Amino acid sequence: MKEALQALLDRNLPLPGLAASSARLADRTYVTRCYGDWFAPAQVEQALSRLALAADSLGYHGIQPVRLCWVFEHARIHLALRPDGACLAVLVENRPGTNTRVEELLEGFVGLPAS
Amino acid sequence: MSGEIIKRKAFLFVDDDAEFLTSIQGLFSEMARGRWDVFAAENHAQALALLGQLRVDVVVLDIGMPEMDGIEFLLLLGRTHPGQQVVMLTGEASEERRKACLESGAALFLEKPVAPDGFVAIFNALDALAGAKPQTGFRGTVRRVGLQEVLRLECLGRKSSVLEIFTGKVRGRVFVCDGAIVHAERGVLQGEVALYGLLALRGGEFNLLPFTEPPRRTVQGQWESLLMEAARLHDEGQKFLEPEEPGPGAAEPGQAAGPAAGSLPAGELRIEEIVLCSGSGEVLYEWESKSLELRLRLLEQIEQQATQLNALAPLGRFDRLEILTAEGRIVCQVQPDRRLFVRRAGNPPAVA
Repeated sequence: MKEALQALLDRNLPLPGLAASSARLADRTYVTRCYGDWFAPAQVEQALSRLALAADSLGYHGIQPVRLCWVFEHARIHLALRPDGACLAVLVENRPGTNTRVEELLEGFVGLPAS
Repeated sequence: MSGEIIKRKAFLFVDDDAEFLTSIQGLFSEMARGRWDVFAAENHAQALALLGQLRVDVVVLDIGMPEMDGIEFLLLLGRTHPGQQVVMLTGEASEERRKACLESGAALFLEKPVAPDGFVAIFNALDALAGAKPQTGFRGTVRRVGLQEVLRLECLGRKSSVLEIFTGKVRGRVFVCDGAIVHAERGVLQGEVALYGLLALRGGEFNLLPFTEPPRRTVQGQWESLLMEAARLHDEGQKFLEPEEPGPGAAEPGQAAGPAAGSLPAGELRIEEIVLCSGSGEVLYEWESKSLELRLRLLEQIEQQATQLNALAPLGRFDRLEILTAEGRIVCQVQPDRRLFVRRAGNPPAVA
């Protein structure tokens, strides 16, 4: 799946306002890309780990998410979850003109064939 | 000769037992000595057809009927013929059935007699009911008459009354004393929260009853302010129905703002749950929440997680978490002065 993911990222990234993207695959390996100096890869992976944990914890509340979007004043963090446990986080600046392309990327990630 | 015209009373008996119908028609017509018109129907379809043609004072329903039983038909009549007096007459009475029938709007719950004396008692009860003056107050359906309108009229007229509201799931009461809303209760909730929850109901029925003193007075303030606040809170929840949600650094017009936005046809959206509380966690408005405690805990948890994320990078003030599920969408907004949970049902997203 890693190759397919790399190809998907190559096709879609970078996109306007993108700060970083990080995917955690089913085998717990990361594919992380950072743009600009907003984040270091380790920071992004740590954030992804927290986001995945937060998504898991929603199950306690009877919520089974397939996608999440954390909206902050300066940035949005999108998270897509796959049934095989893989997840992709995309951190974008909170500016117009990014959401449609992020949507396409997330949909592409969820639609990737399992390895 | 007095010149007084005696109005004939009309009754419709609905029972799947044709033999019973024939007996009761004959017996009661004879007992009434020309003062009653007795009609009969063997099922709800015949009954509805008759009710479409004539006005009756009382509909007498058997409970155990095939296709649509008496209780279901009672509920249907409540919608199709609001205000119609209905009496339940059954050979299998139980306390549960009695309660269900009376709560569903039946005027009386009577047992089918097994001795001739019993028929006299039934006749007298029905005769008295049909001759009784209408009960003080009125009943109606929420869709036809808004609760806000009813409350506004009661308050403007400086009246005292109890507005009893019930839907399939919810029961509640609003107490109005001398034109002031003094108490509201909805399930275990009391006070303004209960009032706002009741005013948000989109369907159901209500009865306007004479005033009785509530167990305690939990609502204060001017009725105008209370109704305005209810409308504001409702709008607060409703705005999440919009396909675009301007937040901090909002998306441009026409652009999808969240993971699900734009993917759900507006006509197929439905808000299913709302919880709104103050920054300190005091519940201000609740609608159809399965577990308030769980929702409040969720909002608290999200706030903590957002703080942790913000510690990793300067993301700025947290506004909300948008969650897309297979069933719809959830928005959890956490701001210094308020926390909001809105669950919306919509088309499931295309998930591989």
